[in-house]
Amino acid sequence: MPKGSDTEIQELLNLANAGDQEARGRLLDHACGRLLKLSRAMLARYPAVRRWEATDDVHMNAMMRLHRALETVQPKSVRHFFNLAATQIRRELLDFKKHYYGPLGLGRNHGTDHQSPDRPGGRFDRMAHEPEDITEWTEFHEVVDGLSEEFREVVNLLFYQGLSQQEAADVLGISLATVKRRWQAARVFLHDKLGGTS
Amino acid sequence: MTNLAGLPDRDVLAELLLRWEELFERGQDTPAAELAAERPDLAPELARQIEALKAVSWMTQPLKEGPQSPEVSAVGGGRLGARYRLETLVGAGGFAEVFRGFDERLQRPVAIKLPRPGRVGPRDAFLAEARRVARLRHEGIVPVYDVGIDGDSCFIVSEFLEGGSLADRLADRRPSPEEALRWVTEVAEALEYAHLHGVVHLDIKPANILIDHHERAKLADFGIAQSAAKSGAAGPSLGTLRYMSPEQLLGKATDHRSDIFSLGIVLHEILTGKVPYQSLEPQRLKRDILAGNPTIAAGLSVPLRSVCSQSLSLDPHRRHASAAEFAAEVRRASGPAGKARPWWPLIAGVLGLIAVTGFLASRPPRRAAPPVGVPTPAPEEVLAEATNLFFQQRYAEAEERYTAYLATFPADIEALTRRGLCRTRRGAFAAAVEDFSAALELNPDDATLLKRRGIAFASLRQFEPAIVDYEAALARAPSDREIRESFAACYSIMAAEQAAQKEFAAAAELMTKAIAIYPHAAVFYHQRGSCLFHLGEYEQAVLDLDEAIRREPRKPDHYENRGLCYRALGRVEDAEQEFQKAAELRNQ
Repeated sequence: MPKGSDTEIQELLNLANAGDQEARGRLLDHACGRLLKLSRAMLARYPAVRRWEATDDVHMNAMMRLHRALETVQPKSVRHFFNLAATQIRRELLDFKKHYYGPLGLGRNHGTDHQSPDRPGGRFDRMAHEPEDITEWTEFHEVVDGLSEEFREVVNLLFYQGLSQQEAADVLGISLATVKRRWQAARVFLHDKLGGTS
Repeated sequence: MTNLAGLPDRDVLAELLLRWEELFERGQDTPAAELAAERPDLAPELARQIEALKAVSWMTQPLKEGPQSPEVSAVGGGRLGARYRLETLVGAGGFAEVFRGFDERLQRPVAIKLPRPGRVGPRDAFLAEARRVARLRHEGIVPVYDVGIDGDSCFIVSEFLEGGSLADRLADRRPSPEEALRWVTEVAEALEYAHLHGVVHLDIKPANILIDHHERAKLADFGIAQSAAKSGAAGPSLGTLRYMSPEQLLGKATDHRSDIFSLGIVLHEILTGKVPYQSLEPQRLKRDILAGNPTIAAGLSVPLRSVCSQSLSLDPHRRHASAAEFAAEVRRASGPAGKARPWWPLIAGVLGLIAVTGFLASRPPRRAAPPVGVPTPAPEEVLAEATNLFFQQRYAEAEERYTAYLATFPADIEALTRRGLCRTRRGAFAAAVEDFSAALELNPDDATLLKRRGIAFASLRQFEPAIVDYEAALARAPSDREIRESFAACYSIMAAEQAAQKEFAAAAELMTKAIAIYPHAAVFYHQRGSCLFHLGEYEQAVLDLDEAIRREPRKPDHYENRGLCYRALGRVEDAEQEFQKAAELRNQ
């Protein structure tokens, strides 16, 4: 998770918005530490992919994406920044599947089990465990993208940015209890939406 | 703590869920009924949401990152068995990873499949299965060159095909109808060969159909799915959901007809570009498949629609009886209509195919020379017509034609067998027994014929001769899944009759025999559990129901009956949970 207080991040944002490249770099560091973990989790089952390119590529692309976003959007608040970062990270992770299964992707040939790019669902009980491959992760990210704003925001902070619930409450300016409620409701929704069986 | 009185239901639920999670984080898993003591009406929904939170608990835990070493993790040094060099990962998924590799001894590229730990059955069983598959030699099956062990990893080495898969082809463009039908029949022929050798694929889909440099379709991954299924780890995730047969989805016993179902989906997709079940929601897709209402594209010709519809029948018995029949149907449906004798070449083709497989190699000649004075229409035409009617499931008419044909060729095993099948399917079991007996006189070692006569005897409730036939069939084909399942079903029928007479001990004993013969069906454990319950052996009954639930976790009866056992054992809360689970499943 990103280290640094809200105040520190707010200061960095102010500096970055004023054109300070170093501040922008430090913000990217804050945001992308978690991304690295997410991309590694997503690629845990693809040793050769991980070996040659993918983790670094995903990381680098997301950094560039976020860098561009910071230049054009200039988030005014910590909350806005985290949301922006989480969205860019998720978009990059979603794009990764296209890269992997695209016309020149490694996964194009010999899709010898359920890793077909057009795979509609996957295992019914898959929400009973962490997504295990790119397709399952992609479905997860897509469903998160479609959450209502208040749910998505909490998932962004807690899951994509790795903040604690109290930190998320501070960033959002709401009570801890509200964060807990939204976090619970979002998880139940994700479970149901992704075909959980319980 | 918030006072729940007067709050809307949604808020009450949220509050109760918060309480549950706080307690849960402290190591206390409080039952929903207890939390919702003031609002018992909300207990079921609360229980559901608790289960949902438990299921997604990984979201609140540290992510499972893969090892960060740049080396291939599965094998030391990227070399297997001191012979195969691993090069590039070319595919990965639920239960294995596939690498392009290089055989340094024979200096050729190979494909190397590395199963994931825990995603296939015990290593020895996996290797035994792989070796069995490796014995398959057919031009439509990607040959397995080697299987082996390296450290903790087992691996399968097979031919590496550069041409990609049918899935790739479909992604690029829709094949021409001729190409499409040729590929599908090639796959069906390969399947027929494998089925006759006791190997079922269970993961037929475009990604597993590879195209070689002669543009010939070849099936990959034979038997892997079965090994994975035996592990119990992967369950219904095997195979891409949209190609899975209803019985696979339900975790029921599968056989060659599951492959025929999946191939029917492929046939439809390759011809129309669309699969017959198209929902993108997994649960809905599953429901659609289980409802058995495929969307067959209107653009298909009537015969091809008919082939698709039959192969996609919910009831496996209504599908094509074999992959050879499916291939024959596809050929017929794709051939020019209106020929004077459209069926004879087809039948010859099917017979030729069967002969090639060696299935009939040891049989006596199937047909004597035609007698002088061939009747009109020619017997071959009568036979072709009979077979046509048989495929259309018009059994009474087919039986009539076979009878006419057999008047000329009374020693034709194929015709006798088919007439026996017609009679079985019409419920004329005694007559069916006569046909199968006549066929068995000509070929006493045919395990399938013995099984079929066993079924007819069991249907007549003549269990003694049925068991004799099944035992003889098993002795000849000990690993034939279909024979085992059918034999076990015979014991199950006997047990049901005993149970109806309140002879529960005898019934339980019969079910033990059934399970020993075929240990894969939840229904058999459930049935024995019922007998044990009536005998007052509740703990033993629970064990059987545990097993039934493990194999078929979506069946409300299993939970309800386990609840009854718990209640009899005085485990009231456990019983209530079971009843609740059963009610939830019924509501879904």
